[in-house]
Amino acid sequence: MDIREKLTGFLSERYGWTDEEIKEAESFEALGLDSLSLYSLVTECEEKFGVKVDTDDMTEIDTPEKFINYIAGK
Amino acid sequence: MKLITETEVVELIKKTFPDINDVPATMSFTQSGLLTSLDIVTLIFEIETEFDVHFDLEDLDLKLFDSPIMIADTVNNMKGAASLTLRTLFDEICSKDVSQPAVTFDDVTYNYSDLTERVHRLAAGFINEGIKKGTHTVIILDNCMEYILSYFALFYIGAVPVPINTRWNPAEAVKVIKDSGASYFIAREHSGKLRFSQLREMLENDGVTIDRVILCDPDESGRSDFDRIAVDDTETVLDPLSGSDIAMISYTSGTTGTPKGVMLRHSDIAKISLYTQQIWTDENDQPFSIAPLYSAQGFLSLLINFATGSRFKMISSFNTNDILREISKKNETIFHTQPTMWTMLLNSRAINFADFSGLNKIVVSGSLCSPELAKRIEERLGCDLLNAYGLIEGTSVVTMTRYGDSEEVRRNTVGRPIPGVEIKIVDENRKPVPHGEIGELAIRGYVMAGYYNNEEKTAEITDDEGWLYTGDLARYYDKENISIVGRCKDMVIRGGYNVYPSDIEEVILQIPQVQTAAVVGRPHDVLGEELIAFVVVRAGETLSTNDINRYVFQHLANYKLPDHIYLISDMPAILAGKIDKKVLSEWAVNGIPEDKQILFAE
Repeated sequence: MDIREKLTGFLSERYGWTDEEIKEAESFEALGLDSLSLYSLVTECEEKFGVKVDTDDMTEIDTPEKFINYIAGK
Repeated sequence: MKLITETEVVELIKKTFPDINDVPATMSFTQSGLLTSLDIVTLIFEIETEFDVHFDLEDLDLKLFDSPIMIADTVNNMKGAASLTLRTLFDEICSKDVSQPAVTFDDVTYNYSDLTERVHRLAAGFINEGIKKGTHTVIILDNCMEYILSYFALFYIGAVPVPINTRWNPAEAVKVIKDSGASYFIAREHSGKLRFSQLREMLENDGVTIDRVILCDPDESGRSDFDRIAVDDTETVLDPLSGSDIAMISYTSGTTGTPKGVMLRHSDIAKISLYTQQIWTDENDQPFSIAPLYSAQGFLSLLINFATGSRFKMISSFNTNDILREISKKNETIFHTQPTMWTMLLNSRAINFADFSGLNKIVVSGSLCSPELAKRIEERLGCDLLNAYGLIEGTSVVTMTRYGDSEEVRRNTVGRPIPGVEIKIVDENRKPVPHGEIGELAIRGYVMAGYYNNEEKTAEITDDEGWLYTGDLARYYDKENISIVGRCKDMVIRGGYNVYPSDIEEVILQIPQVQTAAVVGRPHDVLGEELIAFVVVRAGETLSTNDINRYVFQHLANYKLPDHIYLISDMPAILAGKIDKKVLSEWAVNGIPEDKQILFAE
């Protein structure tokens, strides 16, 4: 399983979204998350995938797809 | 009206009794033995001369003079503070420097003369539309100038604003609106998560009468219903207002349990605004706020900063870059926000390019500001921080540190009461604990008039002597200053928002496959606390965390969505089967024991 699949599975497990929703969502808010939830998500992601997220970059990450691209890029 | 503060009383005591050097502002003379009854009588004569008041010595209650802070409040009430209303406060502030800028929202600025005219015309318009003294009026708006004008105009009439949290989901908002009994609305079609047309339909389907909706959305001509209703006010007749009249109803939560609408009085809000501005700011300051106007921090910031009598600025954006860009313009000298926003600002890359040299004061309130965060803020900004504590049931400001306090006090405590507030720290039987020990913080002074239409809930947290039991655990850090160390009531503060676990638990329990559920807070660097849900699935049933998340999202505001859900085999319980949340909090931090974990419920 590549990192993108793992991240999709991680988001799906955490929030109950389908793969299609993760791919197509226009924003996290459209899927029900508030902007602060990202901080909680990032903390867990850092622990789980051993990456370090620059919180400043989070202002640009507004969709699940962008989130996956960002973490996979790390 | 300029209120006197405890600092002036302390100075007078030192002048009257030159042998006394150390005068704790909040400590009772009876307890400390600092002044005898005879000394207090001597002091009263000095107070009469110094502050130009006269007491009836035949009918004097010495308890009102038992500490500098109580003396300050007594003198102010003698001078008319107890009968202050937000109408008199507005008129007084606006009559000073009429050509000076009063309020700026994004790029629009009104001077005091503009503001007075607009508020008076709007008040007249509201009256024409049927809003009068005591009329509950729901406001559903994101931060905007119309919100500010609406607050002032409604306060001016004596009508009662009911601000709605635009992050609630429609069902939550409808429940609160119904509880408030309001039939007048000031709204925009799209505000946060809410769509007014949808709310209207839901309310009408539930049989709620809607008398008038004043919409702020502009039509093709560029003008809105809100713009159009403002009329000439020369014929306006206002009902008399008193300090004890209800000024507003602010809902603390709402939602799946019984809504709790906190009724606040005119004089309490006016006095708190004046006292607080005297402590934290002066007329040379240019205050800046981003807090949502539906929240206590938002509307109190508006009134405190307005009471300063200088230009108050708000912007519509909550984006960290926009906030830092605004501060870097160096137009504002004082910034008030909550710890989570500070953590986000301090963690942003843009902070390296921000210029804080214009700021000289910072106020932090809304949730616990850790000593480490306070240190980071002060070191990065190069100015002293003022740490404040309050709760909406106590009209939002209870204690605060003061400028000039030591670094240790600023970073480790939430300071001491403001004039008009008494505090005590009590055990589970509501008896005071020894000084320095942890107990529940109780407050008296500026306590709400009660929860609207809910005597039972009001009685749970208040007593016959006027004390309000806050549910927060506190201890005296030194002689006068207190630290908040936790909560004894079940509440999580996530990103500055109060979240009641019971709201989430009740929703999760509606899922047929769920046997039991409990929600606790887990410390988080940015959010302060995150929400952790533990769920036990009924034997033989299948349920995933995904299913639970989906259900919760449909029924609750997004800031109440659990940050993590754990399925477990059974709940830790204390006697009588009550869920042991202490154990759950420990599991949330250190992990769930292997024999309690369930990866897939089947």
